[in-house]
Amino acid sequence: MSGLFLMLLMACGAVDTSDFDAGVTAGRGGDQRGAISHFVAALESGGRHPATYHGLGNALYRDGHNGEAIAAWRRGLYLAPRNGDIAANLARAQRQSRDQLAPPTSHRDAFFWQGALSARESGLLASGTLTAGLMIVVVARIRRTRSGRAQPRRAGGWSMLLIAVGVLLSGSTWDVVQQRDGAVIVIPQLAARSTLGPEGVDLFVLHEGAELRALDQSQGHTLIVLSDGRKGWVSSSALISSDPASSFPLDSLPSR
Amino acid sequence: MMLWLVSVAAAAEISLNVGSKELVVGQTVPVTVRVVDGNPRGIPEIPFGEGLQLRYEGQAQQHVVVNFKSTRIVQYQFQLSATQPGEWTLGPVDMVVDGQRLGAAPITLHVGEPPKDQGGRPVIATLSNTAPFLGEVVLYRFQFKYNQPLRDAPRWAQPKFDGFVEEKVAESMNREYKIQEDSETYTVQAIEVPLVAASVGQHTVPPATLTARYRTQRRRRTGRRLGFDDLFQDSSILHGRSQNRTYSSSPIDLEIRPLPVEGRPADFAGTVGRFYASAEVSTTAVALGESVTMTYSVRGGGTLHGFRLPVAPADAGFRAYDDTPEISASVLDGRFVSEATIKRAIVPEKEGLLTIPGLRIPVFDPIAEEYTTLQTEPLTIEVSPGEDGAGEVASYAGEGGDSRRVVESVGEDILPLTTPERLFDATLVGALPVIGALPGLPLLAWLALLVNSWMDGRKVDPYAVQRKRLTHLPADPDARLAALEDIFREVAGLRLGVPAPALDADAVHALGPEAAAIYRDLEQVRYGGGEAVIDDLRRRIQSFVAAA
Repeated sequence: MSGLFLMLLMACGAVDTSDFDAGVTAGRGGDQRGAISHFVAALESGGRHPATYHGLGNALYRDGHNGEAIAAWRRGLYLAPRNGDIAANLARAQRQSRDQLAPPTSHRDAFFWQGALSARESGLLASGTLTAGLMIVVVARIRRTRSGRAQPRRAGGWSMLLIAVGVLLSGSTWDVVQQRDGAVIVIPQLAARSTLGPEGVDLFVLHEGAELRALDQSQGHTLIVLSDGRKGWVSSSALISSDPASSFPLDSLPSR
Repeated sequence: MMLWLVSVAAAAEISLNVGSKELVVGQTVPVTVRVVDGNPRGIPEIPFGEGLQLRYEGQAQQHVVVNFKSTRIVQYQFQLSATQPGEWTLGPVDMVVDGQRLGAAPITLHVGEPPKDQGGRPVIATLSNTAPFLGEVVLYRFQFKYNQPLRDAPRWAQPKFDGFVEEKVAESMNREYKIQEDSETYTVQAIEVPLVAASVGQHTVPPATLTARYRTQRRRRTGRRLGFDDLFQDSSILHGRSQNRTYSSSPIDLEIRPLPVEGRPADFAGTVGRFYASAEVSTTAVALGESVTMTYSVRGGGTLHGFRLPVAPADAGFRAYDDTPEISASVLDGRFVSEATIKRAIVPEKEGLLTIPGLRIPVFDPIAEEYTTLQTEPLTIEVSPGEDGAGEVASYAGEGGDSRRVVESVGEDILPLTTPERLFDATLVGALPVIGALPGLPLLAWLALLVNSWMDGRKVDPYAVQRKRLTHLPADPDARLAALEDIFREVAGLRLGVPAPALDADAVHALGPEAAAIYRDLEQVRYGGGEAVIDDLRRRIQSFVAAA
């Protein structure tokens, strides 16, 4: 069973590494723009790996794009929460940004283990525990059919415990996916307005690298909320999502 | 006892007190000379600096009883006005009390520049320099002047300082003082915010706003007797009458100038301001293996946030270890002063005279508009031989002693990427096939087992059919006998796994003697038996079917 699990895991999501390798080579050679293009191509071809986001963030930072670098490293950290290198780079870039804002939470406090587990890891763990619990149920059923004896109470307890843990992990994984509405400001300065249209007024000003949560989208604008609860509308083109599963737009780079 | 009482009575004290040691020109504060447990004579003479004016106001006396001990306090009251900026001395006080000459130490007062003249405007905002250089510290000053009572502290909204960042070490300074203008007493509240110019170009500091809540006075109607309201006319609690006024200052246009490229030293690290540096050493003689402490101090009118000493050269003949710099900064009366004190431990590496080179820090002086170098004099210390082995790494394991040092960081940057062994989609979406397939397998097996059980439940039990036939036997003896024989053969066939017509006596014998006996009796009763025999057979066949 574990062999089947590993085989499935290895077969699942393996991608071509040529773009990633080209990005690493370009970055180490000082061609940061080339590295950015290759890393983004690696992402688009399915290589949404923490290392890809780490390399992309490094290249963006070296090229002077602090906001985009924060978005890339934040995505990498979501995929590998225990990666100290990415966390250190992110902390360094955050210190250089102007707005003192707490980043959006990645999970509810009740699911504290998600601070150390990525959504993929908790999802696989949930799947494994559910599988183990169901296997115990199936084996016990087969033995009962063959021998005509009832299922042992201990086996029933273990199966219920494993299934309960699996359901809990599934719930925490679902919660993490639902919280992936974070975004990062990627232009030097941006005013958040009270409403769309000319009757809106400027509520507060954000700067590159500020992390916030996106609540809604309309007419090319996004309704954001800060960690202190303040809300406002900003242009969607000034934001990059911190969801590692979404595409990484680079519209803001050529003009800067 | 009497001697003790006399000594207690004679223990008079005198003290000089001033309302505030930090004044601005035009400010007036109370000054008191207090004599405790004594009988002074005359009014004390208090000398004061030429930037001050002192006026005698009067004398007060009181008795305080604490723990059955009576204390007599005589207090002389003065009003002190500041007339010129600078450092001025008040006192000392010299008085004859009970025949003895007593004195109080002088007090040094600092008198700052007067508040900005704001004419009739209640609020003004100013910037100490509207053309600062990049990195220079300027002071934003917001001033509110009023002469009506306020219900509570005014609220001011700080503007956005485009092109600046707030100085990280010093905090904003709030001061309140009273000034005399045209025989009116005004209260002035001033807020000073230190800012560091951070972005070259034209900028505008937008207006700051202030909301003040004034207490309003009720106009007393003439010809009316004094009532309850008049007694508490000033009570804001009872009346709650107030008037809100909001003021805003004018915007301030400014230009932040870039630092000149010409003449910029190669090791210039961005320190901007007029600074003074000093260095001192804890001792000028030290034994080899011991250390001396150098204390460097840099003080001036620019920000020193993040200041570090230059790294000592590797071949200097000593090793240097820096403490964390202690940096302080303050704002007062339009002046920003910061100071960094850094202690550096010097460990000489050889005997003899050791010269510790002076500090060299290139800075940009925004007043002179040129780059200068802060310098301190080199210091020489004498390094004596010390104890045997001093200055060397002590080793108790022969020549294999560990002489390594901790690797020092000389810079900071982002951490590099390490290439993973395998690249894959690490998102949840990438793992969904596995996540779904794994529990799906046992789930499918469990469902298959459930379906199998259900199918089993729908199968007809042939023994049950035969048992049911036994309960509904025909009434006619021949038909009943035929039915009993048929039931027996079906059940025997089921038990032997052969079709009922293929049964014979030998095959039935395998089911035991009772089955063989039933088979034999059925053969015999076909040729005549009677009701009793048929009933007997029915009971035996029922037992046979139940046993199956």
